[in-house]
Amino acid sequence: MPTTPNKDSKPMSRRAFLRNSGLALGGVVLGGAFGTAIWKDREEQPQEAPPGASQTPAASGSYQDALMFFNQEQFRLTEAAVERIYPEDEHGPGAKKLGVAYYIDHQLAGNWGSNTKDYMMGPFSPGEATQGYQGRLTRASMFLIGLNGLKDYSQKTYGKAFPELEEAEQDEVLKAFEKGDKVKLNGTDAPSFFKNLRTFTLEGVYADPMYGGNKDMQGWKMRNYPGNQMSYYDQIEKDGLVKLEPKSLRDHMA
Amino acid sequence: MANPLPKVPVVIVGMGWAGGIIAAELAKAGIKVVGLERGKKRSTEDYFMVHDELRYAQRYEMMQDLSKETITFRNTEKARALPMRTYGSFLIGDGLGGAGVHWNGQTYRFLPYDFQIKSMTVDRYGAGKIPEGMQIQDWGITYDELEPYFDKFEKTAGISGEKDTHPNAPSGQATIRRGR
Repeated sequence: MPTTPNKDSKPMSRRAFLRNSGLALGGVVLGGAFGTAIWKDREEQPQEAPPGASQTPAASGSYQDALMFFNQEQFRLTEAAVERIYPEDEHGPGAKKLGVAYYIDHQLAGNWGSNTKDYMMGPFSPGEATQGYQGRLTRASMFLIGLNGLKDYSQKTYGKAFPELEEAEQDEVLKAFEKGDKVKLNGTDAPSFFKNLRTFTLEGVYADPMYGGNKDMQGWKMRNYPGNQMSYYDQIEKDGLVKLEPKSLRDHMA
Repeated sequence: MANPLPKVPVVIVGMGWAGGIIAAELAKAGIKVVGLERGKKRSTEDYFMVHDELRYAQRYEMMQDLSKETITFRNTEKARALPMRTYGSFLIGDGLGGAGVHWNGQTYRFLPYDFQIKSMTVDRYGAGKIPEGMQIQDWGITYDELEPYFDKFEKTAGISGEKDTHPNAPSGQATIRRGR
């Protein structure tokens, strides 16, 4: 993948790097100058969602924007935390506007949060690091323990609720959880919580909008990811870059 | 209660790549085979939403439901064997086709050198190239002997690639099937 010099020769932002480094999620790379072409394309096209411009959720997902699992406080805490992991910037919306907290709420409410397809019966015994998860708590329970820890740590350290902290302070809290030496959680550990939070955030940004995140396929659009195309039959033999409007799973229902 | 079924000469447990190929070859030779497999039945219409990356790639839709059945494992003799509670690096498939159904990857042929690693190394660099105590051996079967089977398997599994000038490239050229 060719690297593209930034016009203003500013250091490349994290998101610009993600975008420019191609389709980490998979998909078809059409032509060798793919990265360069995307870059150029992005410069020329009008911004789809200027930061702060639209507060209304896309029509496609609006009915899903309600809570199955969290209470309001847990939801706001999650929303604030995921926005620091995937912040809004000049390239487009962050995790908050992409509906990531709704995505996490829906996931924790369902099979994944309840570990219904995992082996959850006893006897329980602490395992080696190589033996994977050996606890008895579900993902949903562990996430709530983590959120409580986030709440307590913020209150203890800054005297404020996590969503009310400055961004830099929120980052410090999250870093403390990632590192884990200053934070003790009961039943799970802070680095595991952070790891899950981060994974959930990326899933919410990039999973199909059906799941409540990736609002209006904006997570995909920011990276020119074509989503779930039924087929590349009409494009695969074309030369050069083919720009595709992304398709969601809903488009398969037509 | 046991339900006796008509006797057959061959019963194969597990209808994945290995069992499936053996069953097919036996059947072609006129030998009656019964294949046993667990898991639910799947067919093409069950894959309508197969592009759902979260469901299939992240949540392991195709894999065995660990709440019903799992394995225990340990990495050393001293460790206590514990159940695999969630999926990690090791994925267990079920259903007809076994691991072949959720199989993905790139399938390269071994090179002639891989089969004759010892003799070809000695031929080229001399016996001194192989340090004492290194136990590399030739396979006892050569690339040329195996080549027809590579070809057969590639056609069976639908393996294709770009036609290139590599001497060991698969013989078939990648083509897009025309007509819908």
